[in-house]
Amino acid sequence: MKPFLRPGLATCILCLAAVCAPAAAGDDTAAKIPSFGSDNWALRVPEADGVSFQGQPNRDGAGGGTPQIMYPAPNMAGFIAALVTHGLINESSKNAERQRIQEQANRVLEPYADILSALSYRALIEHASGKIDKASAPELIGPADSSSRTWVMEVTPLYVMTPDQRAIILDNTVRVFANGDSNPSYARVIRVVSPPLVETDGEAILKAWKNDDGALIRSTSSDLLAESLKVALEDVRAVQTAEERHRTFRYREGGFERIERAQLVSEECHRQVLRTLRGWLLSIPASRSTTCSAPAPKIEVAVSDEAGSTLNSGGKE
Amino acid sequence: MSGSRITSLLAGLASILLLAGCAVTRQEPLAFKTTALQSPARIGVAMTPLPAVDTWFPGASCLLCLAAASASNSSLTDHARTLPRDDLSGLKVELAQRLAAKGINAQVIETDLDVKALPDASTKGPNLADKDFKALQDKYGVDKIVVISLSNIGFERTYSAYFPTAEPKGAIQGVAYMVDLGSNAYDWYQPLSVRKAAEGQWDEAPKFPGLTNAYFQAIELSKDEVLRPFSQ
Repeated sequence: MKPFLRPGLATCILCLAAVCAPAAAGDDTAAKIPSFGSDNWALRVPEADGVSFQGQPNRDGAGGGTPQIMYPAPNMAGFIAALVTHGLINESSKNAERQRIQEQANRVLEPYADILSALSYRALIEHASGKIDKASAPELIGPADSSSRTWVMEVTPLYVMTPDQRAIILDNTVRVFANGDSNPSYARVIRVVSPPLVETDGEAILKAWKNDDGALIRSTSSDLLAESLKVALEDVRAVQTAEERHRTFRYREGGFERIERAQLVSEECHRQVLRTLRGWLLSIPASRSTTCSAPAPKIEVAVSDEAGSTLNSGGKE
Repeated sequence: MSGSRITSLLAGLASILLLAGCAVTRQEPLAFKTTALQSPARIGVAMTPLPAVDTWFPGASCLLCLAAASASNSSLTDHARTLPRDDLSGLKVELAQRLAAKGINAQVIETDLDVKALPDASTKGPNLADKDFKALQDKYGVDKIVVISLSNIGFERTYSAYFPTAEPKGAIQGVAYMVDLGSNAYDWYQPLSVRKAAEGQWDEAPKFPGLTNAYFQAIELSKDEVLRPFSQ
């Protein structure tokens, strides 16, 4: 298995986090948890040498067929045997299709194999945590290391490239432990979507990512990670307020328009943070700059087409 | 000619007649005619009654297969029935607003339109409506009518007899069309069939958040399909 295609473990953790994730930290916990700058944090980094990258599968057309079968049933035993055989064949063909769709999606990464195999979690996380607080960055520890810091944040990032190669998405499973505690005080998947590349031509996209030994892939991956840590810290320290109503949001994911039913959590410079129906936090590029003085991100938001006129216009509940 | 050959011939003829009798002319999709909005016309926008949000299982074709599929997806069916469909019921208003923005005299027909209750059209032919819509011209005071008719809203899961061939998907099925009430001819005919898979895991009872999101995605995509010709 190539190091940059290490989705198995990350996907398992994603599923586990989705199923087991406790609600956001309660008010008491939130009051206790400090910000990164207070010198109380350790950041637990995955051990893997390579970084998990995969393509984005599209399963909308999967299993479209409804083949009919005549069961040979000379007697009840024969009928049951035919039924079991059909079940096994059906299950195996579903698994094969799932695998085929994922393999097809992963092909998008082939041109970047050299760059991705040289990435390391430690380098990305060092860079990302430094962006949040340069003066007092958290201590980086390995999966089996212990720390004297009061709080430990464990991160498991999984990167996904869109089929048109114009954006990278990060799914970061974040868990926060009080030091010495085996149960997390907080667990959440944080998804961060990069703004789309302005380039739309295949060659130009390839060149943009690969220039300078993949500098843009490294900086984008690190920026997404920094944003996910920032969103997680804000969420973990947030005091529960009245629930926003669910709305339908539209946003850009590469050159595609995506739709998400969610609650708006926050809106600031060039980004909106949403809480999805799964309880994940989703940080998306805003279609219009909200009030802020910061310069636009390095990757500028592409001029949207007709669909862009309805971007982020929450629909009615 | 032997008796058996005559019997075979008669059986063959009977089969042909039976098949011919059952044949239904299926309306093919018809691209929106840009000229349809050019002549000054009053356009009515109507919807047929929305079906309840539910699950359906194409391919589970025998009675026992259907019973097995219904039983194994009962928690999803229960959840589907709790989901709102308000975003769809407002579609005719949204469409009328798009028409009004183009300077067209658009009128929302508040009551649900019962197309089945309309008389059959006397003239049949390609791109002509099977039902006679002409009476609606006087009833609503419009020259053309846009009809949005959704047949299935909810979740579709394909089956091969007793076994699912895929995970369930958020799905919307139906048709949208525009009829010129003077000629009873279609200016536009767009079958709708939108399916969206849940991202990642789907089997997350009791609230099925991944599939619920796919359901709302399917709603938005079907609305886009209906509104697209009127947004250009």
